[in-house]
Amino acid sequence: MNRDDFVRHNQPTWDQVEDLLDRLDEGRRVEHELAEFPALYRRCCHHLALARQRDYDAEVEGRLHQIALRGYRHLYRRRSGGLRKVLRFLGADFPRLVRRHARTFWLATVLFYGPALAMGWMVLEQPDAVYSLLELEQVAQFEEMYRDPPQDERDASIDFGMFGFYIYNNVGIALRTFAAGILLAIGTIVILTFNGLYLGAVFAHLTNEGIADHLLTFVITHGAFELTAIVLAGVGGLRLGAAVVSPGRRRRVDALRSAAPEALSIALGSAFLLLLAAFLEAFWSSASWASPDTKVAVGSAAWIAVYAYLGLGGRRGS
Amino acid sequence: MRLDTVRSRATPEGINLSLRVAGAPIRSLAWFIDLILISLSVFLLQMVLAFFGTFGIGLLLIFLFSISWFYGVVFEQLNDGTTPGKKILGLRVVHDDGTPVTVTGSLLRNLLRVADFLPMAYGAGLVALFLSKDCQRLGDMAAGTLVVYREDETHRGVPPAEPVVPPVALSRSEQRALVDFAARLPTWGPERAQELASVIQPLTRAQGPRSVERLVGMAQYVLGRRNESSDEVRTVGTSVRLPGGEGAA
Repeated sequence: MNRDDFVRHNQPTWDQVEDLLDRLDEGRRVEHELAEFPALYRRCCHHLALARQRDYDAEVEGRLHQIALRGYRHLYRRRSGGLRKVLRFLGADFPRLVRRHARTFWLATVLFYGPALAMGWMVLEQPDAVYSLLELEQVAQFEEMYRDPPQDERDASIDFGMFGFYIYNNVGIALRTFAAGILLAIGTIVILTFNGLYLGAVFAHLTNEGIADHLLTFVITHGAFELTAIVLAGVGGLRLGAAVVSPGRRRRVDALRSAAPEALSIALGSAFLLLLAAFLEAFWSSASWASPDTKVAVGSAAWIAVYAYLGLGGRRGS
Repeated sequence: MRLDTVRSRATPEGINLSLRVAGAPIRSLAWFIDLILISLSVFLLQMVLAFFGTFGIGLLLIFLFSISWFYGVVFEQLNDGTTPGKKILGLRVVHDDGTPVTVTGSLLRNLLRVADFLPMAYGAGLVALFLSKDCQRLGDMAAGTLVVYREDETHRGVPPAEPVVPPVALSRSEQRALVDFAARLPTWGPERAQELASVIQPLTRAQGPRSVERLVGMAQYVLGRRNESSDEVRTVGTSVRLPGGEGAA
């Protein structure tokens, strides 16, 4: 059989498969023909192998290769779960994952709160030390912000505006903390440390000024979610970095690839906590209708709840 | 060391699929098109939301957050591995075994984009791209994804020509080279085609346009087309003509 006979003989099969693939690509329904698809596809693969073995020209081989390539995408598509998987993830898999990486979690906690405590202690001892980290105007801004407790009932649209800002800014920081981990974990460590330093400096400085109460009542509730989420994003980043720095008996790329999905899951869990935090920060933390005592009580409960969730979530059930 | 960008992946059917990975220039261009679309949409939304005060600013910031982190994820998932920029330039994101990119893969490669962007203008990403053998930036490595061309190069048929009997017996790979030369002819200018044809002057025994024409003729012959009027049909492989024996122009 020469090349032209081969084409003439098999043309109808190829046309049929191409037509089927066109419809599959466009997502149209092809139910009754679907059963035939694997067999048709494999026949075309066989044709491709023949065409290559016989060195047919690029026109024939190219067409068959295109069919094989397109068919392969449909036949061997990797499946991933939907909404149920998301709920299951938040309800059980995420806290389990964090516990599995408990050592990294505590490491990230130290990297974040360690500098915060050190910087806080330094600023309490030596009030001017705050200017080694923050600009004069920044310090003045913080003082201005927390000089008075929230007073007037503010407009709901301002709340929403702040909600948008918190999402844009805070979730962005968390995702960046995660992503920077791929650079040998250095990026993550730098971001965690610097955010810790800022936190310690601001808290200690406002304590020196005698207005730390206002900051505390403001941040305590959403901080439970926000600060923990930053630590968790750090866990994700450190996992990425650890795979690159210390791949064990694998190539670095392979170690990175196998560590990446879990690291991503932790970062996404962190992003979810930050969405909650942004919501609370915009609509609850600045509310003037709740008394400072109420806020401290609710905030403390929030801290216990977040750690209980990470420590106990998903312990029962499959 | 590989010189071309074709990567083979074996399938369970026992064939090798060829994936043509895309290099830095065309990927940058695709990213640039996407960047223009993103900027444009932010600009337009900003004009509309300007009428809604701080509420509008909140919405805009949420939009800005979503589009800067998840633009790629959403399009790659809904549009079969292509963002608009990639679609225009004929690119697609796939896993390194050729299967469509999953949600996890999309998320990883797009969230890690910021690491690729460091220290500025995709510095880390470009270095990674040049060092990796599959043209992957850092995000691609973590996600196990490739950016490939969607289509093979388009293969036209061999242009019509009077079949010419090759003066010597040709091996299969030589026959294949002839046919591929003829099929790709329309994509070159005439000078380039003649330059290539001049390389095998001993085969064509002709110069200029005539040599190209004769090569196409031989390709037609190799494909099994025969000139009915010719009486030298059966001579291939049995006779080697002396130089100048055939009436070359």
